[in-house]
Amino acid sequence: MKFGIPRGLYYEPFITEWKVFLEELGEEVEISPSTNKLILDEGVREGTNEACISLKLTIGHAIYLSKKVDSIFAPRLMNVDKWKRITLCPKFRGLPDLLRVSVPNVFTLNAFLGNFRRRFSFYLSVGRELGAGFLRTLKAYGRARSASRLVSYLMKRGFTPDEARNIVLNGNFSLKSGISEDGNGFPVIGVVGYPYIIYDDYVSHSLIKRIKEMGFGVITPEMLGEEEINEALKVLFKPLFWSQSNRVLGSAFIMLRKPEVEGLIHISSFGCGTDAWVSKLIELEARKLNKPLMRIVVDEHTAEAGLVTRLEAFTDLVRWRRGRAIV
Amino acid sequence: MMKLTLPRMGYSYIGFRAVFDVLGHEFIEPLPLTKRTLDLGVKHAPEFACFPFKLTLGNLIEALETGRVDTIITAGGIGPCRYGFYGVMYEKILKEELGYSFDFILLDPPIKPYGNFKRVWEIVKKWKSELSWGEFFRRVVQGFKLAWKKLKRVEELEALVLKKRGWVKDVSRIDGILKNALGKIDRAKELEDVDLAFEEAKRDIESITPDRDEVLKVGIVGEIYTVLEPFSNLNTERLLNERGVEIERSVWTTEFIEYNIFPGLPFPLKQIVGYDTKEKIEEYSKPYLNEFVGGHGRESVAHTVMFYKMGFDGVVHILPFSCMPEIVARGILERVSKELDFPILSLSFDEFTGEAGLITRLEAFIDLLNMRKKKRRAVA
Repeated sequence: MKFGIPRGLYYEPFITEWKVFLEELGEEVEISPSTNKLILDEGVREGTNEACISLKLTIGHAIYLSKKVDSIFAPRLMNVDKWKRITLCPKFRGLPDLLRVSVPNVFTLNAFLGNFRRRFSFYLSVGRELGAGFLRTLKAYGRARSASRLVSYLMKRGFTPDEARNIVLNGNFSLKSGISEDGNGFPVIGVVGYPYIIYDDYVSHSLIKRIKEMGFGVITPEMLGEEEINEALKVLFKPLFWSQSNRVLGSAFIMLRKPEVEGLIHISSFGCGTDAWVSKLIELEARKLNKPLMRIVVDEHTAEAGLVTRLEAFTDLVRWRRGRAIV
Repeated sequence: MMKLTLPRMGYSYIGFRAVFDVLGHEFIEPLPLTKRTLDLGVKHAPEFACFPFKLTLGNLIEALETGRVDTIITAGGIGPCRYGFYGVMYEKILKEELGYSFDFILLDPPIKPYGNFKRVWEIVKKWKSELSWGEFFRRVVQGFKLAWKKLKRVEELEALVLKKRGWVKDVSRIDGILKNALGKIDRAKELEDVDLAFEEAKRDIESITPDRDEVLKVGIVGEIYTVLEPFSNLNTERLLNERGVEIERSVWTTEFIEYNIFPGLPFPLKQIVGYDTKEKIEEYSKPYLNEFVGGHGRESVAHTVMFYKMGFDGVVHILPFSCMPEIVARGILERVSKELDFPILSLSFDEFTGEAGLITRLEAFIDLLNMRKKKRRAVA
């Protein structure tokens, strides 16, 4: 059988993990290409209105894939955190059912990926569905996990998810990473946002590349460690209910406290429910710590020119503040 | 003694007042929602916060402005709906941004990592205040019994009103009866008085002769706050009633409490409408939405299918703008509508929703339903 894994809401390291796992079980896997205008238009036409751009994109990617593959591999991401009660945005929970509205064949299972026990039982049931034996599943699981660990490691070192996947799956090893924290003494700008937005060059209009071209170092949530983030979140009365949001919020708290980070950009999609809380909490914290913060909201209509102007104004502000600090 | 208040949602304050009166705390009735409430909420809430958050925040700001409130109480939750985080955001915004000082009680279930038993214990001690333990427990039982009775009677009455209003031309008379009965129920101190007020209002409503020969039957599904609070949905239900539509609402405070706050009670509480069991929800939503998505997302889908099976003419889906579970439901309802050939009108409400546009859409929907009804009759 040939499976397709849509991008959009699905993100690394899960894409690589699933691809390696399915291929080890002898299935063919195709990952949808980077977002382009065609995919976006398809998704916007088919998707529910009021949904965030990433949800519409997932539908667009799935439609694109459905012409080429037998089935869309779309696990219902329920939990990727060590606490079982910390889940993901409701859109992830409804995603397979939403995909079924537009795409005929969707392969889905509830995926609890928070710790070894839950993760392994998820992969076992996938293996069972596909008719693979225990030992074969075990072997595939091992391969998949090591690939995904490598992807996470590379992302932590400043490779973009696409670069990391390329290295792990194709062995195209390059030492030059897309983003690296170390800006050779340049000021560093923190970019926080969900991985499926900040690393999607079409949606974010290559925000990270642009910041780098302007002579800044960039730091993203994927470059920070899990423990560090959980520690930073302890200032809250209770954590947020969504793993990705906790990650974004925790890393924003860390970045705002790092002396080398001179400014923070929070990029989120229009209508993002979880970001309503995240952005407010970041805003209150940034005001308290007196750090420049810019919030960019993207959707399918965001124009590049407006975004660049705002980015230039923000970097000027950061530079100006830096100049004043030295004087 | 605490002087406490909580955000307004429909007539739920009647129940809360009963509990806190019996416990000996002063309950300050939440102010009715107005344009000013909304403006205050919109000004201070995050841009993409759900519409109910904006309204309730405005409501709390207005309550604090009066200076009579020293404690605010809200329910927490464990997600994935944003509602569970309202409390934390209220506290952050009201205290850090607006500088109000008050005591804040967040009722979180003791489930890790969101809450723990220590917090629950502290809340219990606050509620107990100077009472002895025996007296406290006696009053808790008495208070909750009374509150439950009141809430249920109020909602039974509302269900009756929503049906009957569709049959008459002059809806204000029924509104008058409802208002009168709500006042009586709110003031009642004994269980019998509640029943008495309810029976009286029920008799009054049933004695009204209908003006219409036939009406359309429409089900209401959607997000609980926006459905229950008439201000937030611009009185959609009344607008429908006035145009000759009988309404069956599918979300109720009492059922919400039953299924979400005390899901594992050994003794089942009596339901008002009585079609809402967990198994039913799973059964009805099965081919369309196979997982709980938070809030009333799954219920919206299940209830729509249920209304279809009950032979309703159509369903109105009410959701606040940017509500996460309901957006999922909305996407799936498109499929339900297509596959079952069942008219569904999704209305999303926020601070920019205008009444004229809403009325146009409702009238178009009613015309569509009437046309379908005629066509079906012609075929038969």
